[in-house]
Amino acid sequence: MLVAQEISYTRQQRFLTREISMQIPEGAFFTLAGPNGAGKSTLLRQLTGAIQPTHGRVLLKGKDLREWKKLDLALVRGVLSQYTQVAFTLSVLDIVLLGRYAYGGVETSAKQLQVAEWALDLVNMTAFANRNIQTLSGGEQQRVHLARVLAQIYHPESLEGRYLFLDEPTSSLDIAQQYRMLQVLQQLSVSQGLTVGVILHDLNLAARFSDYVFLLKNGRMHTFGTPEQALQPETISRVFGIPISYVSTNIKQHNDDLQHQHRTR
Amino acid sequence: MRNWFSFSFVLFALASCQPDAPAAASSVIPEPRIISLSGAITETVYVLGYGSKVVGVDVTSTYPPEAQLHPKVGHVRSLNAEGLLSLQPTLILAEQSEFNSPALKQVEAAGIRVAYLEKPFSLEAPDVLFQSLGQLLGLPAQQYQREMERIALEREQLARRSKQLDSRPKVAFIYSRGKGQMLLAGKNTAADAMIQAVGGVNPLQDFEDFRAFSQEGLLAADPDVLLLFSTGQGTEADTQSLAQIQGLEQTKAGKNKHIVFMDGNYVLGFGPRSIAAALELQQKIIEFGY
Amino acid sequence: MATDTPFRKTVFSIQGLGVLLILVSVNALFWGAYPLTPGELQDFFAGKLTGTQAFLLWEIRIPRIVLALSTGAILAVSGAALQALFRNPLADPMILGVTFGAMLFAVGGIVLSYTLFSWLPVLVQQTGISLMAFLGSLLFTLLVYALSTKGRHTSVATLLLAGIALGAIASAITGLFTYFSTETQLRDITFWTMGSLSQATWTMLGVFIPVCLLVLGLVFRQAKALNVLALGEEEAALMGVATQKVKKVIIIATALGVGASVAITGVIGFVGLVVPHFLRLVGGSDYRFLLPAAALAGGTFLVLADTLARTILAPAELPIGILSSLIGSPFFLWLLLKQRKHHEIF
Repeated sequence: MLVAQEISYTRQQRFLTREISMQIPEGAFFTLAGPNGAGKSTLLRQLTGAIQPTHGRVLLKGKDLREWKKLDLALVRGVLSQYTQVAFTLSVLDIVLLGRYAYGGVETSAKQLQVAEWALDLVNMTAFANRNIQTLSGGEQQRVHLARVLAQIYHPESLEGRYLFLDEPTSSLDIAQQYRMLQVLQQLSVSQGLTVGVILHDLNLAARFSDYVFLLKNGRMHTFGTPEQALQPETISRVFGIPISYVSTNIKQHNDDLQHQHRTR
Repeated sequence: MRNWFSFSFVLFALASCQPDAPAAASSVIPEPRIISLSGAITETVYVLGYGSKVVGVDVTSTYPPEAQLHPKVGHVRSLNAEGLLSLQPTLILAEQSEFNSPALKQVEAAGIRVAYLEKPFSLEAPDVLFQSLGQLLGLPAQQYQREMERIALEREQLARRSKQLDSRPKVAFIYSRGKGQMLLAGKNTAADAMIQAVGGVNPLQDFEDFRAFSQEGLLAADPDVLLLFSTGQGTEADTQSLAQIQGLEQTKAGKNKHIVFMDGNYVLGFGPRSIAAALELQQKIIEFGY
Repeated sequence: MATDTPFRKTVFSIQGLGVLLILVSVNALFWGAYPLTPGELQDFFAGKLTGTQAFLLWEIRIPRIVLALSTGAILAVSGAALQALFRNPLADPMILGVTFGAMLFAVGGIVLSYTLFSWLPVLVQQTGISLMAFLGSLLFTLLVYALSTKGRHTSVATLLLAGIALGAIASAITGLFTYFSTETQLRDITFWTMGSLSQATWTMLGVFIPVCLLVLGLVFRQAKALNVLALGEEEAALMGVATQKVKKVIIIATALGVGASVAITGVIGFVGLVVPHFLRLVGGSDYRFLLPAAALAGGTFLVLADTLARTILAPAELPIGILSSLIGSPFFLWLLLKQRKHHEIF
């Protein structure tokens, strides 16, 4: 269980996030959404332990994140940042292997290689294993880094009790890749019990894959709940400040409706 | 990584079984192979007739011209012990001020005789060098007696003429190390000693050694005559080098163009030619009307 | 980057570099102003050589080669470690101004030891100067780090400018010191800022080599963490790296290495830039490879350069600092242009 208790984060006397409380059950797939500057990234970074809330606290498995050792935390929680720049020439495989850093002392390199291959396979990047990361496109690099954080939280039996946070993981991917990435995450969540927290701009994707959606506005939690509860047109209009109308996402149903209309005419 | 460690350890281990340094040589060396690390010493060696025994010199050994034909071992502050040894010297001559040179310490440890010769900043310096070198090379005193007598005569002439000077002109020495790097000679310098010897006074007496050039300091001292090292590239180049000295025209020396250029080693080296150099400097001062 | 070449894995193996270092070092024994015959060298390896030749090898050539290889190793490893710390392949102790910080404090130490502490034994004075150099490089590493790593992103421009500014400050204050020093001290300082390995003695190596081994030991143990640091500091922390501790270890270890080497050999620049970069080109940037390889190749580089420096003008010698800058600065320029082409500078 991941619990945020009244967390606020201020910088230069300005609230970036304000009095946010959340409870995420293990194995859930949740999305943070909201307009630019709503505090999504700041909130996510507090949930990952990258930064400490100015007020309030975040509890992971009942223990304040401040009390977690970095190394212990790295064993159960992976984070994919919005943009990771690799400073030097490292191969794709090298990068993915870095994900197992926290297991350095206890795991053989053969075992680590196995894990890295599993992760590369999941993101469909096996063929790139020996390429220099700096020669890959933005989208390909993003997938390599996903493989890296997947390798980090890998467990041979089950991913229950493990957490993965992703800050706009789909930003540099094409539509097909966006779907594929979120499908992989959803599958790990459903079949292996991985808890996934993700920031998404595309509300269609949020509605399609999430168990819970949290809508933020001006650093505050505006609405939350299941996609059906949270993503009501009038709520979205209020959060984003634009008029929204709802169209069914079920394309087959949509076509049926059209045909029905045609026939009845 | 392991290779590197073990290699350095091997070398370390080897180091501890080094052979003992050879014993020190006897005091007189019959057929010496000489390296001279000072212009004044080189000149003295040549006057004593040992020029053919010289196998290497430093960069300041510019006189006599044939001395420059020997292998150069570089500046005395950046000596290379192995370079010195490669010339297979039996005697290395240096001034006392080089006593702490690490390279010379290494050469000494290799069993090569290194003599550190006293060289006072005075016109007695040639005598001191003759005597110490004569002893070192085992020469009978009469061999350099004549030279010392000639120098003594020159010195008397200098002293006589100094007394005849109408006034004691203020002479300042400027040492140029390139643009923006001008040094003025203060107390206890070769320049100070030379200026006194020719009957002048160094107006810069409130500091020792050399000081970076201060325009105001020079104006305050207001020297009658300026002494500079010549560039060695002719009068024109020398005169051009004056352009680098700001505020020069405001001094008496600058206004009256009372400026003397002389070869550095000649005038301030305090070698055997130093009295001749002093007479030459004095002659110029007299010509300026003092 | 535009090129799509497949990524090359280690062409040079650690073992190969080790063998190369030994070959180059042994070869350096044969070169020098003093001519040695093959027979004499044979005698030397058989342990039968005596007299001046034996002295020359034991007391002059070998200490010098050992000093060259340990200085080269420590400078190259410090460069590689600083590159990881600053996440930038252009980092080098000299470019960051760290060397000048060490120089400033060491020159201060020299002036002090000439004036206030001349009554102390020479060895104590030497140790004092080395300690000063260490403090100088430590202070300047911390300064350049604080100046150039504000926020999450270290810009190359800020890094280089901070390095230049700090180097200029250090050089200016060094100039101030030389203003107050006598002509003799000045000449000492001048030759010393040009860098030279000619003062190698076993006594000095007895202090320097343990320092080198300590620094190498400290840095090598961080190899994996430095790899993760290539992803960024926050990222590394999220992956379980004790970033604060790693940074402290690297800053102290490199300051110790640079300080000790500057105190003994003067300013020898660009080794920390040229050697790691070459290794990155041929073997990639995995620090588990790069660090030991940099130690070996750095040693090889400086032994080679010093062999050149002490033979090219024999019986005089070329200051090694000048030679390393002659090789290193065009290389630096080339790197800079290459980075600019990829818009990585600003």
